[in-house]
Amino acid sequence: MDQSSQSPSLFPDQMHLIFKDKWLLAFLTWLPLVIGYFIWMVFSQGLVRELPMGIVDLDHSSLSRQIAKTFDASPDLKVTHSFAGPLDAEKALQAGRVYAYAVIPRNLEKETRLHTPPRITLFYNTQYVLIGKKIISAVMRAQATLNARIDIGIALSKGSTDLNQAMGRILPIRSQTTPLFNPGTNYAQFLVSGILPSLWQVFIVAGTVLVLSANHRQGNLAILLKNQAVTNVFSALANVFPIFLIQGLAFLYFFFHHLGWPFQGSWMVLITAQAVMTSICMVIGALFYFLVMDPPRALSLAGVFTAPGFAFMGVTFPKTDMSPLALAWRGMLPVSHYIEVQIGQANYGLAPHLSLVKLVPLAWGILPLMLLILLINRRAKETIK
Amino acid sequence: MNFLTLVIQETRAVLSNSYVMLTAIGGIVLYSFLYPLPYAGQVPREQKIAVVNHDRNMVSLKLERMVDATPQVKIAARCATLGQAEDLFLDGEIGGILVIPKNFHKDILLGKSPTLAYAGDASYFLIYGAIAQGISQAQATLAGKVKIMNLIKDGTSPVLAKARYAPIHINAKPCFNPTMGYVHYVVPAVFVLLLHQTLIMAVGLMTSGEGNAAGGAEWISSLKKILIRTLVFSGIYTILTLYCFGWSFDFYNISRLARPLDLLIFLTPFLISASFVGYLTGSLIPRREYVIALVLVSSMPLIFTAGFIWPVESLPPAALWFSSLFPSTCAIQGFLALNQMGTDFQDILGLWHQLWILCLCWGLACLCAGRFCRR
Repeated sequence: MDQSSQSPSLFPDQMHLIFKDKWLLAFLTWLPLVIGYFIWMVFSQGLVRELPMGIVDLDHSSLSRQIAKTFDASPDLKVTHSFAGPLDAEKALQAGRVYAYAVIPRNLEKETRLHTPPRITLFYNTQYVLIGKKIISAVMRAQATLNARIDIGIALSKGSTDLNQAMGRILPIRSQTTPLFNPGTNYAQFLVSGILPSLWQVFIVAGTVLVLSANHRQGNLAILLKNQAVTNVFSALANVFPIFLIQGLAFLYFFFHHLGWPFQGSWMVLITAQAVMTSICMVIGALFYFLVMDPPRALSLAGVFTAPGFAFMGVTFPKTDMSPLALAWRGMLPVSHYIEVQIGQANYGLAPHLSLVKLVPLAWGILPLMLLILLINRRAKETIK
Repeated sequence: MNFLTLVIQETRAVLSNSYVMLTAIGGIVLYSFLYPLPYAGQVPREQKIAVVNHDRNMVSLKLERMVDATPQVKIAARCATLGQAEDLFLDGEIGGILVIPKNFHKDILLGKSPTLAYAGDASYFLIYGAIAQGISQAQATLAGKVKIMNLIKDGTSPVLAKARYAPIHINAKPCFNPTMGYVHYVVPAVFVLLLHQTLIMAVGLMTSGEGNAAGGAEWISSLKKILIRTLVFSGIYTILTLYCFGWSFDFYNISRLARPLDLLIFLTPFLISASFVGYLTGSLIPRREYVIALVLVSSMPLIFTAGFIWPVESLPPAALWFSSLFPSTCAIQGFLALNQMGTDFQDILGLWHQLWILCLCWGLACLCAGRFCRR
């Protein structure tokens, strides 16, 4: 049988190719799983707890000790250091041994008793924004507790008997905040459900380049391009498509089944979105390959395009605060549209048409698709020559 | 051949290798603009909420105005019912809903502590947090005013009342990144990783492309080759570091508190150890595209374990162990401490020693790889 006349675009051919190359096999199978699991593991604690802080107690009174205890009682904070003076504390803050320190002034207890409110100064590290925010809100909560306790003491000492009335004066307005869709404000759920899709995008685009490179190395590509080049290349790509889709399904299964994160919507809608995302990423990957016809360069392009995907997604820093230029780059990345469907389905349980409409901007994918077809034809001509 | 000729030869080879130059110079310059791009706004501002006010009177309307006046929150809609607000929420028009209960004003006057309810979309923590912060600020200000009014009613003089609304005050001073700006948060750390990753990639591409003919068997010549390559790349990357920490930090208005000499001293083991990692990667991985692919997918695990996004105190031991194998983790912590927080070199001596230990380990691994993993 004449080997060269047969198109090696079929499923067994592509699988054979992949299994022959252990590096390629790794990139398409276990490596994405291992890295994905690792990312989840990093955030698996879900909450930031017991951030180390220091106290500079210049008062040494029972009230100042009570203040230190109140800070320590907050689940977010842990008083790990007690400094003799502000200079030591400042050094520890700079060196990162503590994330914050509070200076409790001399005569704190006395001034509190005399109703001339003393001022505690809190220095906290905001270089790490998340940690800084955690600390300031924990300290503010601790202060509210402390003040309420002192106020009640004063009210009772003045002979107030109605505790409710006293509370009304101490806390004139209460508030109740409800974080919707993530009741425990769990960071693992928030971050990992965004990071893994953007990692997936890297794996699809880069993986497509690697598969085409392997085809080229094995001499398949020349055969594919010989006649009916476009059909051949697309059918070869279509046969690898399931691998990438399975990667996507794997993290969905992990989130919404294994970890049991809430899922309100329709699996069909979400899987459709995954299929659309996979297709466009593969087209883009193939475009990079046929554009430069050089594996390392094509992969560099794939890297530039996909690596900062998470920053542009808008899951952390909101898209409403991005500049038009940033929004344009964001719009080109398939994952930024996919994630809106994922959030819409998992959290809001949106109706299918309301959710899938988010994928409409991905229609820009027709552009790389047409370019890809043109390029394949051109490369086919070059090969024949 | 003497040492100098070899160095010149290697420098020529590096400079004429287009893959390497594109990765090192092209990659760093491109990313130094691309990565900070989404964060140019620095902090989330004017996030939209809807207000459902069941108590339309002076005090509740004043609260609305106070909420709207915070930089974090903008009232985009006023709804009569919760249902209307929920519809807006599902349409993506707003990120949160504030409900002011009926008899809000009356209950305040009666001392019954009415409850404000806020619900926000925690799918986006930054938006949720910004709105929650804005609302709680407005609420605290209003509560403070009510307390002052009560004190005055009891006969305290207005001046004293203003000081006494709380028994203890806290004066919070944010340090190192006082505005909590995102560019100032992300860029100093990510640029270290950018240098780290492109250096590994560049050395890896150089090493992977050339086969193993030159230094495979003889370990003296292998050692020579590793050292010369490391020297040349460290030299090139010192210049690129000047670009990142100098020109680029200036461009983004990022503080540079460290003394240049301290930076250079800290940089040395960082560049050497990262070059060794690159050399090992290049000599173990047969194809250049796999070198790029591996470095590419390792970026996210490295960035999330470096301690600036997620505190090291909250990392599981296995993640900590993994991340301490790579120079980027120590380097990010060290450079942030030196340059952003103004730490004395003495205080990061431990990190500097760790980097030298990494140099030793990765260097030995390179030698062994050259000797035992002949292709």
